Amino acid sequence: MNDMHATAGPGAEAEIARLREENAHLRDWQARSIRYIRDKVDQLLGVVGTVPLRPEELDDEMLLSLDPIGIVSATFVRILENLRETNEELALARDEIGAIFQAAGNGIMVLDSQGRVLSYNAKLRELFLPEGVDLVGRCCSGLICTPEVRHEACVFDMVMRSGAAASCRKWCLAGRYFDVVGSPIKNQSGEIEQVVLVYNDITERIRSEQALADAKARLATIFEAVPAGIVLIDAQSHRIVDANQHALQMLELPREKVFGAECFSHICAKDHAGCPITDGGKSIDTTECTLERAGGTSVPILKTVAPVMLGDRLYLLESFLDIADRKQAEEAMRQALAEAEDARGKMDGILQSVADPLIVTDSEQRIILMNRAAEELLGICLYNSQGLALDQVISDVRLLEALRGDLTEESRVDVALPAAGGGEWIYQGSTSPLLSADGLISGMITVLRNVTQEREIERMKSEFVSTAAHELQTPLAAIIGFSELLMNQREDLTPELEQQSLGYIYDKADLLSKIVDDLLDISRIESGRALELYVSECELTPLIEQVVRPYRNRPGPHLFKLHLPGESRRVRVDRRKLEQILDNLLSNAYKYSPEGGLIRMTVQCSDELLKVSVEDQGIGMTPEQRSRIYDKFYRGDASNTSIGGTGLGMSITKYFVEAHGGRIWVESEPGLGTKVSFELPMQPRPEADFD
Amino acid sequence: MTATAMDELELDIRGQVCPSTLLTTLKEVNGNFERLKAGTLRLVVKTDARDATGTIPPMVKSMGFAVSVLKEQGYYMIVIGKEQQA
Repeated sequence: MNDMHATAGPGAEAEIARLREENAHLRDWQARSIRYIRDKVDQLLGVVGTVPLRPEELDDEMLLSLDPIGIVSATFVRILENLRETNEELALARDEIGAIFQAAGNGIMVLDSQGRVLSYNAKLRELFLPEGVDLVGRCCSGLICTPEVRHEACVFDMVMRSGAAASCRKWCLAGRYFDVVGSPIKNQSGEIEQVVLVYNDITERIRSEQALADAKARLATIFEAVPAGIVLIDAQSHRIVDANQHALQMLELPREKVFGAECFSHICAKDHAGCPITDGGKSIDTTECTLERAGGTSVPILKTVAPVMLGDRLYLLESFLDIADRKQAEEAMRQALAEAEDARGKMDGILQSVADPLIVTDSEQRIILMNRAAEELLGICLYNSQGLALDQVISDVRLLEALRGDLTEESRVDVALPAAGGGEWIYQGSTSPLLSADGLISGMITVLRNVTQEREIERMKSEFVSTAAHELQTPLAAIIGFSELLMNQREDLTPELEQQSLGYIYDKADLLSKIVDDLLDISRIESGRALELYVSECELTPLIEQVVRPYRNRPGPHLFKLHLPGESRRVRVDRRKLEQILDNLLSNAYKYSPEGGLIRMTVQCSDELLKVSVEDQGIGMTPEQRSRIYDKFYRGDASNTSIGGTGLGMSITKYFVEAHGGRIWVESEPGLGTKVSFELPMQPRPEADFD
Repeated sequence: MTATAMDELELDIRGQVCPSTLLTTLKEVNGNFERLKAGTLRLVVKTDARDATGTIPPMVKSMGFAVSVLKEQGYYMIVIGKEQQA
């Protein structure tokens, strides 16, 4: 510097001075800049809460190289950036909270510490506010809850008093229930600035709970009241976890003895193979089994098992009914059914054994029953006609009328129905009311009895009475007439005429005697008494000659021929009966032969048999007449009253022949004549009932 | 100062006092800001200046990082990393 001063001129001096001044200025400026930087750094450090930089800790050069302002500035940039992001997040969160606030299913209301409403959401408006009412800035009391309700449980007051969250359960307002939760929002000093009230509408839950409680109560009542034993069984352990009172009574055990016990120890103890309990309730079954009582007795039960899920656990609901009474009733019914079946069988047997057709109808005249004879008569079968109305199966009008008789009266009516072999049969329909056990008329029983033969016999009897009267009257008239003659005019009669009159009287009396004998014989036959044969050995030819003599000697237009065996034989017969047989046959031949007709009697004998035939050339007989010739009271031509006879002769003859162990037969053609033959054994048959 | 391969940067500034500790730490945080923010790096500061435990954590928290202070034998370990999302 000094060299410069030595060599420099005055201008240099000035320059040096200027430079010195400028240097000093620069030094001052630098010092001030450094001081400024340090001040600002310290200010920044103060902002961030740390101590100032000390110059001895960091000299100026290190200060500049460290660049604390740059570090702090960059830090602040980062902090600001972080704040911006935080603000954005907060704004987003605020929007989210706002959306949640409005969309929340609960009513939310924010109050200040004075109870004035700051905000509330849509749900709260929906729950409590009438249309057009705004709560903001107003006190909620009186607008949401009544003073009485507020006095009892105002959550806002509770929060303000306690300084902590508070709640009120099942707060009731206008028939609805709410859970109200209040939470305080405090400032930095811990003072409550706001209170958030959340109203959770639990009305439906309360109602559901009430309904559930009611249902449980009902279920419990039913569970206990149902007249059946019910037990709940754990599906895995098969242990009873619950039982109703009826089940306990049936088991005769207290609750504590039943609960926890294996079900098979009481129910189906002896045989539980196949029980739904064993397969975990996969099958639902209803079975009959037994329940073992504590007293050692068994009760028959009808058991049903069904699986039920309670929570996540499988149980089996087993219900059972005491069926002891039912079993007894079933047994009684089974016995009753068996008895009814037996009775029905007997009745059916009786019904079928009734020879006459029998029909049972109900009150509506529908067929209930009929026997086989009725089926054959009507040409229908019970199987097809049961339940059908009478007019659906019976076409005969008279029969229908008979069957439809008055239900209240017994009646009888004759009905002519076609006979199986042609012609007609007469049935007498007898109807009687069918009475039920209580005495009411429930239908009608009709028995159709074939009275054709009875009616014919009645008709023949009627004819017989007429004929017999005539037959008796004729000889009686002669006897009376000749007797009067002998009594009143005997002195006027010649001895021959007197003898002739007595002969007439004898003949007619003899005729009467024969008629009476016939009547007595037929009476004996009808009464069923055994015919008494008085068998004796007698000479055949004289016997026949004696019978034939009156006919042979009888004056009249008939021709009579008798063929006798070459030599007389001795036979063992009831002489009088044989005479009666021969007399009947000859009498008929004479009665039914025309004038000049030949009557031939042929007698043949072998060692075993006596055969006699009487043949005439009379009016003969039709097959129908021939078939009935032995019927009692039957007369071949009843219309011809000029031909006498009782209609008993052939019937008695047949009886006498057969009583001797013989047989009789007839050959006849209408208009050609009739041949009646009989055979008798020469010796009496061992089995013949001779004396 | 050593950086581990395990994305952990250790800053041993024991012997320094405030505000150097704060400035040194902030410089390191700013220099590795992106990796710290992404969560691929964790900064572990070892300091024996007690005051630093009162200045570093608030500043770093304000920058959006998670900070924990562990008392070790003779020093403090301040761990700075990405703030865990809730």
